Amino acid sequence: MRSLLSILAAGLLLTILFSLPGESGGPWPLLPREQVITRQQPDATSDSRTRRLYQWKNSRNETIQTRFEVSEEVLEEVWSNYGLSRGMTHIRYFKKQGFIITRNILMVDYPGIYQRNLARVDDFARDLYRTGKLQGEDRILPEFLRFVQQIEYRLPPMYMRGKKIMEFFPPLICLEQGYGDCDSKVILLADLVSTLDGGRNQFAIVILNIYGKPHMLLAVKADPLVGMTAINIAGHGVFLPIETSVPGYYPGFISQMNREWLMDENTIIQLLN
Amino acid sequence: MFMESSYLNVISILLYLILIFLAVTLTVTGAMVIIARLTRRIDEKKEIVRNRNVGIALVFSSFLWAIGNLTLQSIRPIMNSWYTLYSRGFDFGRGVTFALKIIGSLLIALGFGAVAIFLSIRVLMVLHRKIDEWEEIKNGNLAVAITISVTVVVVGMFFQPVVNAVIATVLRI
Repeated sequence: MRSLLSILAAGLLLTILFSLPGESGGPWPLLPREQVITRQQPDATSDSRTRRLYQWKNSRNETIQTRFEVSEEVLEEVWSNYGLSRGMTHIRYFKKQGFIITRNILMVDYPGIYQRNLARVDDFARDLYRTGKLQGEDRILPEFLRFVQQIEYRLPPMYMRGKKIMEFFPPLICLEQGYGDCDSKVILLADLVSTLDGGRNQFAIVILNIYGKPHMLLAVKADPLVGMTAINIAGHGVFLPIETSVPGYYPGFISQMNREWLMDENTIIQLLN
Repeated sequence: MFMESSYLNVISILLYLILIFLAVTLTVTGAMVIIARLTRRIDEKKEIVRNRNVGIALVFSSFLWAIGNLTLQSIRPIMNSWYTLYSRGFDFGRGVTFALKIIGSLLIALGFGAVAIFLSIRVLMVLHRKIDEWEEIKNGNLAVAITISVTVVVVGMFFQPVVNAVIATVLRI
């Protein structure tokens, strides 16, 4: 009886260890420990502007408050240029509405959305730079990454405002809603950084197909330092993968499972700029 | 451009080498201590060197693999934390805290290795209660040695993905 109980206890322990929660493919790092963003509901005020206060922690562990503000007209413009309404089944709508057909699959036109949102996030990027007390251009990416990682990770719906949005929020919508998933955060970070550094950092997106479930990473062109994971994109140089979904990862560090899936033949890499 | 500093590169390589040295030292020491503790009736050095006992060597190797794999797993989170620390700027206090965290991480990995080994040996001993495994291995029973080694390796593999999460969560590294 004792031996049976011992085996059961050992089996239970291993089961618990094996089923520990992980984000985007593996437990390290980090079990979400920095739930620091407190979101306020957007308040459409009389001047028809939507506001949201972001409270986040910079790398010096200081609590920073950054206000996101956008007019209803701009939001309407973003919505009018993104998402497929009923009847938009012809291919000519796809590019205009932020989609492309690749390998016979309808998917979001990430480079296109990245390009068209550069100017739109400019004001917020400057506010983020100012309120985050950043010093120097080389601090932009790590600090903005910290901010984006602290935005709540939640999958956007497939349909919104009667449009098919394919579970993706363009940067302004992501900021307005206060949450986003991997691809929404990737494009948001790329836009925030690029709008400030004038495109000096070259970005690419990496789409992993983890057991059929896609996960997106951002990649920045940079020489890897020891211990970092790097991707060599033929003809374009070496890029460091960036995990935007959960806090704790520095550029060049991704979970073990993501590292393994990076080498899979179904991984898609696409340059953004 | 993001990260352009040869100074950072040199320091990081040095830190990486120190971490590997610490991990290897800890692995070998840990494996020797654990096998000596588990096999008190056997002089494992004599068995391996003089009697060329493959069974004891096999079990010792599996201990080395299990602990080594877990300690090496702790290096990546430490490097991740190092670059974050470097980019935010560090003073004496932060440096000391970081050094303590490194030691803590490696000790956690060693602890997990020890737990993995004790757990696997314990399970096997419960399963084969009437058999004295160590006596069998001492007498050259390779079958028992292989069973124990593979169990240690497999349990070590179970613990592998957990170590990083525990280090990151407990030590906030």
